Amino acid sequence: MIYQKAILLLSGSITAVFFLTTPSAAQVDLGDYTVSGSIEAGGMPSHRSGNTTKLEEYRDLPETVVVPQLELFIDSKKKDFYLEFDSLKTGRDDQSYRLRAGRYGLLDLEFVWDQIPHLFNVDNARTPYNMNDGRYTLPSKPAGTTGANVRDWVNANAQPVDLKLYNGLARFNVRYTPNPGWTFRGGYGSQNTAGKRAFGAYFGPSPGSYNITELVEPIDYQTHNIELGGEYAGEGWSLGLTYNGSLFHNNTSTLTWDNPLNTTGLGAACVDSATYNQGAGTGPCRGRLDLYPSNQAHTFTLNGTASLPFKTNFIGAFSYGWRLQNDPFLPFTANSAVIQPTISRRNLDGDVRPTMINATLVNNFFRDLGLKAFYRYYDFDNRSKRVLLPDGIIVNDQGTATGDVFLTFPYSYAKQNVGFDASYNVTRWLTAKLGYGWERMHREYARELLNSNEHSFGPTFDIKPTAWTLFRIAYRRSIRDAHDYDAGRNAAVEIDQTPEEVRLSRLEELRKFDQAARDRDRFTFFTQVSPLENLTLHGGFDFTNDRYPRSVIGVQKDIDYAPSIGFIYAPLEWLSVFGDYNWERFDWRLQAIARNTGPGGCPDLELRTAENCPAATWRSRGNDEIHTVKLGSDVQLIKNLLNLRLQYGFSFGSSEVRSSGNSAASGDTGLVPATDYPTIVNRWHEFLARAEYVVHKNVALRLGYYFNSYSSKDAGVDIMRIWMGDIETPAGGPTFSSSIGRSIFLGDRGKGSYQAHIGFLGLKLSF
Amino acid sequence: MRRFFLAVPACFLFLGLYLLASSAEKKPAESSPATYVGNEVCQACHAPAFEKFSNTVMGRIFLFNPRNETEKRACENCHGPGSNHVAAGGGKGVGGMITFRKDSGESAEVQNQPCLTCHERGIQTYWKASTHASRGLACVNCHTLMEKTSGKQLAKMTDITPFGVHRAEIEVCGQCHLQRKAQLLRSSHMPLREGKMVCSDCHNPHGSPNPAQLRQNSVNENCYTCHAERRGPFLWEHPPVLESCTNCHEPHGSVNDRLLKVTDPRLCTQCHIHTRHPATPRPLRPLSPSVGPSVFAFNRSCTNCHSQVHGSNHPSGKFYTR
Repeated sequence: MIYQKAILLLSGSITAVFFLTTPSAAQVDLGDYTVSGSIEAGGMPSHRSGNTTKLEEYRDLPETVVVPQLELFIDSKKKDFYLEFDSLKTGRDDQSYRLRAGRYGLLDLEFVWDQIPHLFNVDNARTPYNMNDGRYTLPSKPAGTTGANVRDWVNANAQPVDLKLYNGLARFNVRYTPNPGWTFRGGYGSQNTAGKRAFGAYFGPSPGSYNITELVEPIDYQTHNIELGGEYAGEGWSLGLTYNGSLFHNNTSTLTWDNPLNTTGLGAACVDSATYNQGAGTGPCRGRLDLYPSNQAHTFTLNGTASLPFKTNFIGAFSYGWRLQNDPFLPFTANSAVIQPTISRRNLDGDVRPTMINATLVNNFFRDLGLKAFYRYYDFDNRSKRVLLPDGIIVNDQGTATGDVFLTFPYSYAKQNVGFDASYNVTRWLTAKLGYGWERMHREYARELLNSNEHSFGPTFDIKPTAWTLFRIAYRRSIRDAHDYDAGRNAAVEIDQTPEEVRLSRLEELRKFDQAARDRDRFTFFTQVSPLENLTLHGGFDFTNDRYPRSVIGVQKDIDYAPSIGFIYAPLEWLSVFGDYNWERFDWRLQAIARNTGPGGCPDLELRTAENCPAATWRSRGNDEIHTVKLGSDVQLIKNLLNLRLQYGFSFGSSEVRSSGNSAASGDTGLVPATDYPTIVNRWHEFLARAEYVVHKNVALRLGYYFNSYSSKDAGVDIMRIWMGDIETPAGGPTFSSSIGRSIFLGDRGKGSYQAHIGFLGLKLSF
Repeated sequence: MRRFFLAVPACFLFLGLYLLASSAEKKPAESSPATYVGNEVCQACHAPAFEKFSNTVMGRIFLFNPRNETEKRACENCHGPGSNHVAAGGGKGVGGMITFRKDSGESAEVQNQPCLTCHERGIQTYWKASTHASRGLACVNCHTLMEKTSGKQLAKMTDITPFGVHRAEIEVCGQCHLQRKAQLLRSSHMPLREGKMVCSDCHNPHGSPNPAQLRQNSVNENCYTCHAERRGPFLWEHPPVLESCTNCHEPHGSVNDRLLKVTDPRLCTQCHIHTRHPATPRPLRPLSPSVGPSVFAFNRSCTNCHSQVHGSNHPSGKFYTR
C-alpha cells in the first residue's frame, strides 16, 4: 500500500512538472539536460457479471483511477547520456517499472520490477482447514465416518479461500562495452512467488479404499538468478564466456495435514493407527507431504565463432552445468503407529551435470550454394546418489512397509543430433533446400527403450518472384525406430525383481508414445502477397501427422492441422483494416486393454493382446478444435486530431473424447462399455474501442470501451462442490462410492463464465 | 493420369511465377567505385529521416559518440559509400546504395551484411546457422532502424491500453508464425497476450545451438527459468517429465486446462495402461447400478491423488502421492 502511494505521488509530481512548463513546450530544459515524457491517467468504470477470475487471470482491472502509462526521458544535450523511466499500470497488482540509464556506446544499466498476478479461483473455493505455514489443522471433525457425516461437517465448517499467486520479479542488468571489441555483462534477478493453488492429496491404501482431501498448496518461493559474462569479437572471430547461476529456495517445503476421517480426536488427542479403516475411523491422524525441494543450478557456457578459409564459418558452444539438491529426507510416514522402514541415506545428494556441445559449419564458397552441417550433443548426466530402501515404502501413511527392495536409479539420458542442409538459389527468386537430420537418444535404465534413432529429411522452397510475393513451403519426413523396446528393462535397477518378473505385470504390446517407433510427416506453407501497395494478404498451413506403427496398445496416431488466413488493407489514407482467422484441429487415437484378470475369458496380463482379448480391448479418440478470429480497424476521423481503433477477438475451442469397446476394473461384475466424456467447450470474446482526441499539442483525451466475455463448459469441473458424494445416479444404484462420499474437495470452479464491460476516460499529458 | 493433371497446372504456375519474376526491375550497372561523402551530405537531402535516426540508440552512437572509424561513417556504414549517389543527383536505387525497403529488390544477404558487421555476437552469435537466416529473413523484416520504436527497435509498436499491453514482439513474430499467434488466444495460456511475456523470453530469434531456437540448452531448462521449483533432481523422478515438459504440455496455448496437450485422464492413459487403475474408461456419472462415478474423470483426474507428478523427494513418494 505504501509502495502504491509512493508511486502515485511520483506520478502526481511529474504531472506538476508538466503544469509548470509552458503549454507549447515539447520538452523541458534543465541545464545540460532535456526532460520529456508523458503520463496517462483516468478512471475505469465497469459492470461485471459472473465469476470474473478468468478476466483477471494475469492482470488487474480495477474500478478506480488508474495510471496505465508513465514515461520519463532525460537526455543530455551532448547526446552522450540517457535516462529512461517507464511504468505500466502504476500501483496495480500487475504493475511494472523499468529504469534504464547509461552512456551511449559504453554503458547500459537497467532495473526492472514486474508483478504478474495469476488467479486460479477467487470467491469459490472452500476448505475446513486452518492453514498455517505448511501445517494444516482441523478445528473440528465429522461426527462419524459415513458420507452423510462428512457432508454435513464440511458444509458447515469450510471457509472461503482464494487460490491465486503473485510473482514479483526484480532484475538488474549492466552491460559495459569499453570498446567495440569487448562486451561485459552482469545481471541479478530475484523472483518471489507467493500464494496458494489447489492440489490433491489422500489417505488410504488403494484406489478402492481412500478419502481424498484436496488441499491448498502453500507457495512461497524465492529464486535468485545471477549472470556474468564477457565476450571479445575480433576480426573474423569471437569468444565469449558466461556464467548463469540460479538458487531456488522453497520457504515451505513440507506440508502436514490432519486426516478428517480419523475420528479418534482432534490435534494431539488424535490416536494414530497403522490400519486404515474408513468405517471405523482409524488410520493416520495426519499426512505429511514433501513439497518441491530447494535446489541450485550453475552453468558455464563458452561460445565462439571463427571465419575459416573458403568462406566457411565455424560457430560453436560448450556448456557444462551442475544441478544440486540436498534437502534432507522426511521420515517415511507421519503416522506414529507405523514402523518406519530404513533408508540408506539422509538426503539424495542430488547432482546432475548437464553438458551441451554444439559445433556448426556454414559454407558459402560456391556461388548460390549454401551448406550447413552441425553436431549437437546433450548429456543429462545424473550423478545423484543411489538410495536403498530395503524394506520398501509406506503407502500413504498407513499399513506396513511394502516389503519390496527398492534401489533408486538416477535417471540419465543423452541426445546426439547431426544435421546437413544444402540450399541453392535456383534462380533469383527461387531457393531450394534439402535437409537431413539424425537424432540418437540414449536412455539409461528405468525406461523401456535404451536407444532410438530418428532420421528426418525433406525439402524446403522459398519462392519470391517479386518484392511483393512470397511463398514458403517445407516438408519433413521423420522415421524413429524403437527396436529394443523392453517392458522389463527397468527391473533390478529400481526394484528387486528380474526383467521376467517385471514383464509379468506389463502388457507386451504397450508402447509409450515418447519411446515408440514413430513415422512423422510435417508440412508447412506460408504466403504473403501484396498485390496493391495498400493491401497485404497472408496465409499459412501447418500440418503434422504422427503414426506409431508398432504400438498395438498405446497411442496409435495423432494429427494436427492448422490453416490460417489474414489481411491488412488500407483503402484510404485515413482508414486501415486488418483481420486474421485460424482454425486448428488436433486428433489422437488410443487403444488399451483392461488390466484385471478374467474379463471376457482373457489370459493373464503379460500374455494378453488385442488379438486374444478383443472383449476387453477399448479405444479412445479425441479431437481438439479451435477457431480464432481477430478483426480490427484504425481510423483517422480527423487527421492528427481524432483517432479511433476498433478491435475484436474471438476464440472458440472444444475438446472431445469418444471411447468404444468394453473394459472392466476391480469391483466390476463384468465388462462395461467404455464411455464418451462430455465435450469441453470454451468461448472467449474481446472487443476494444479506443479513441484519442488531441485537445492540445501536449494533451490528449482518451476514451475507451472494453468488452470481454468468457464461457466454459467442462463437465468434470463444473460439477465440483466441496462434497461430491451425492453425484446423481440411476435408480437402484449406489448413491455414491464409499470413498468419494468420504472425500472433501475445494469445490473451485475457476473456469466460470462472465461478462465484463469496462470503460476508460482519461488524459494523456506529454511534455 | 492423376499425376499428369497435377503436373500440368504446376508447370503453368511455375511458368507464371518465372515470367513475373523476370519482369521485375533490375538494378543498373555501377560506374566507378563509390567513396564516402560524410553524414552532412546525407543530411542535406534526407533531413527528416536524419532527424529521426539521430534519436535512436544507433543514431546517438554513430552521430554523436562513434568509437571507431566504422561508426563515424554513420549513414554510409549501412547504406554504403554515397559519392555515386550524390553525383547522380540522388533518387531511389541510384548510385549503388544499399536500400532496406521491402520493394528494393536487394537480397537478404546484402541487407544483412552491414548489420552483421557489428551484430554478430551476444544473442546474434548463431545467426548464420539459424533457421531464420537459412530461410532468407532480413534483419529489417523484424527491425526498423531509422526511427525510435520499441526498446529492441522492432518494426511494430507496442500497444498500451488500460485494459492490457499488446507487445510489439508478438505482432512481429506473428507475421509468419500464424498458428502460434492464434494459440496465444487459447483458454489455457501463459501471460503473453496480457503483455507479461514475449516470444523471446523462451526463444532466440537470431538463432541458438538449441532445438526450436530456445535460449536454454533443453526444453526443460528453458521452463525452469521461471519454474525453478520443478528442477529437482528428485528421489523419485517421473522420466518423461524429466526428458521434456512438452511431452504433456503445449506451452503456446491449449484448449485443455494447465496447458495440457490432451485432456486428462487420457493424457496419463497414453502411457499408463498396464498398471493399476487408470486404464478403465470410467464415465463421469454412473451408467449402471454396478458402476459408480469416477474420481478419475472429474476435478483434477489422476492428480486428485497423484499430485506430485513432476517428481517427489519423499521416501514414500514412489507413486507421486506424497
